[in-house]
Order: sequence, then C-alpha cells, then structure tokens
Amino acid sequence: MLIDNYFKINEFKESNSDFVFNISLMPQHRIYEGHFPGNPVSPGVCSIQMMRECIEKITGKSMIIVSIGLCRFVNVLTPDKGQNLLLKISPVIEGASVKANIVLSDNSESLVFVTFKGEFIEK
Amino acid sequence: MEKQELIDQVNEVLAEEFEVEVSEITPDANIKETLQLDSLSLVDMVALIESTFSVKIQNSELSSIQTFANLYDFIAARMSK
Amino acid sequence: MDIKEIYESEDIRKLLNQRDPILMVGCFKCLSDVECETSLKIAEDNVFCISGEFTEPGLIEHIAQSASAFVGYKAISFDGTEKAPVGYIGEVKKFKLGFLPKVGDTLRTTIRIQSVVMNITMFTGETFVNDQLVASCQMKLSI
Repeated sequence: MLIDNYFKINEFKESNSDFVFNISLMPQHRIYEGHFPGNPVSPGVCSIQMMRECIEKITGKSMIIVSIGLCRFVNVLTPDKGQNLLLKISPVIEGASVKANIVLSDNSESLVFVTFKGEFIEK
Repeated sequence: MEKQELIDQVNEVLAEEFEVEVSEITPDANIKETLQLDSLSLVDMVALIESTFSVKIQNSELSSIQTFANLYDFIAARMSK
Repeated sequence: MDIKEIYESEDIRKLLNQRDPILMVGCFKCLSDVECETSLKIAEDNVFCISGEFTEPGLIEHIAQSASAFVGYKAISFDGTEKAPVGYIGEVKKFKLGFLPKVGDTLRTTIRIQSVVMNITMFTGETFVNDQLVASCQMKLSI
C-alpha cells in the first residue's frame, strides 16, 4: 500500500539489538492532494504505517498493530523535511508477537517527529 | 480534607502519573518544569486533577497556576465551595 | 450559515479540511456538547485498504477525523467562524484493535470529549461494525 510510493527505504541496518532504517518520503504521493490542499503535511497515521512496514521488513511477515500504548506526534512532518529520515526500531520479539519502541526523527536524531510504543502480531 | 492531607494526595497522584519522585515536588517549584509537561501532557495533568478532586479548571484560570503552591490553593478553594 | 443536525456527503467538507483520497468521515451527527457519532462506508479504493481489508492506520485516521469534524462543527456553529480549523493528531493512547473491517462494511464511531485545554482536545473514540467493537482508543487533537 504505502511502500514504494509513499516512502522508500534507502538503507536498513541492524546495530546491536536495534534496527535503523534510512527512509525518504515521496512528495508527489497523491495523499498530499487531500492532506491538505495547498499545504502538504505527512499524515501521522502514514508514519505509523511506515513503522509497520519496516517491522514487516524485519520479520519478513505481514504484521497487524494490535495495540498502541502511546504514540506521540511531537513535531509536524512535511514531505520536504522527510527526505532523509531515521526510523529506529527497538523490538522485543516473542514468537508471533513484536513489542517495539520506535522513533522517527531527522537524520541527526535532533528533531523527533514521532515516538511509538506498541505491539504487532503476525497476520 | 486537611490542607496537608490535600497536598500529600496531590503530590502522590502527580508523582505517579508523571513518574517523578515526590521529593521533587516542592511548593514553590514550577509545575511544568518539574513534571516536564508539554502542551499534550498538560491536558493529562488538568484531567487528572479534575477527576481526582472533582474540581473544574477553566482555561482562563490555568495561567494563574504556575507553582505547586498555586495548585494546592486552587484546589482547596474550589473544594471548600 | 444554517446549522444542521446531520452532515453528510458534500456537507462534511464544511467540518473538515481533509480531502480525497484521505477524507475518512462519511456522515457526522452531533449528539450533545461532548458526544458525536460518525460513520464511514469502506470503499474498495480506500487508500488505507490492503487486499480488501481496512487497516489500523485507516481506523486511527477515521477516529481522529471524527473528532476533528466535531471540533469543526462547534467552531462553525457556536463561534461563527466560517472555516473549520485544521486538526492534527497529537497523541494516540491505549489503542486496541478488535478486528480489521472489510471493504463494504460501514464503520460507526462514537466520540466522547474528555477535556479541552488551550488548543488541545482530549477524547475517547470507539468504532463498531454491526455492534462489534472494531477499535477503541484515547487521542489528543491539536488545532
């Protein structure tokens, strides 16, 4: 749904138990026509979908978000600010369940856009 | 409710909700700084105080509540009504 | 500006700034000062559908827009402003998924406002399909 036309994963590496994705938003995605007309803002829920798709890259399986303890949209993300984002996932994998703390920030990790704490299970 | 009892209860619910030590909550300390509140968690603080002590904090009154002492006085005044 | 009890199809655009393909509220009904109800029939081309299922981000966006429509409704009917303010999701808390609805299902959502502080509205949202709980959460919307 979103991968390959809303955002793309430029690079993905594992560093100790965390997984770090370097991603870019694609400003011409049609979602910006409606969010909002003449004022492109990356929808918070699309950041959540990006997180899910990166978790699926780690597990290699389709995943569903069954619960979100807390997800905070700390700064407004726009496509122009989203060319070089860092998405850091700290997962705890138990069988079919992945509990994860995830942070979406700029590349220098100085500007945080979204923090997420929730649970995914295999579809 | 005795004033000291009220102060202890306020400190306890805030310390637990915002994960700070009760010792960090002193009457003249600034609430936002001590509890590290931003515009989102400020709503949690207001809702928590309103439900715990069944008082109403109007937006206009919020600016006058900067320190914990202000908060104790505000609740005490509303509860005695 | 005539104030309606129910807003649907074109009228919804008066309450929300989102437009296709991410307009996720079909019908809005004000129930009280702190409660409203919305609905959405899930179309096949919905941008949040994957292989016939409406996904969690879509549910969260639908619930957030339901609350945003309520804030917009109050703005245009009580404060007399002409245009509904733009609402952003500030926080999602205690989101629980019941099941993923299918294309063709109609979502029915109840929003209860808990607290409004400055530009932040805190509310709970529950979404049902045929009286089965699809999702529930608490959210903060910043205007």
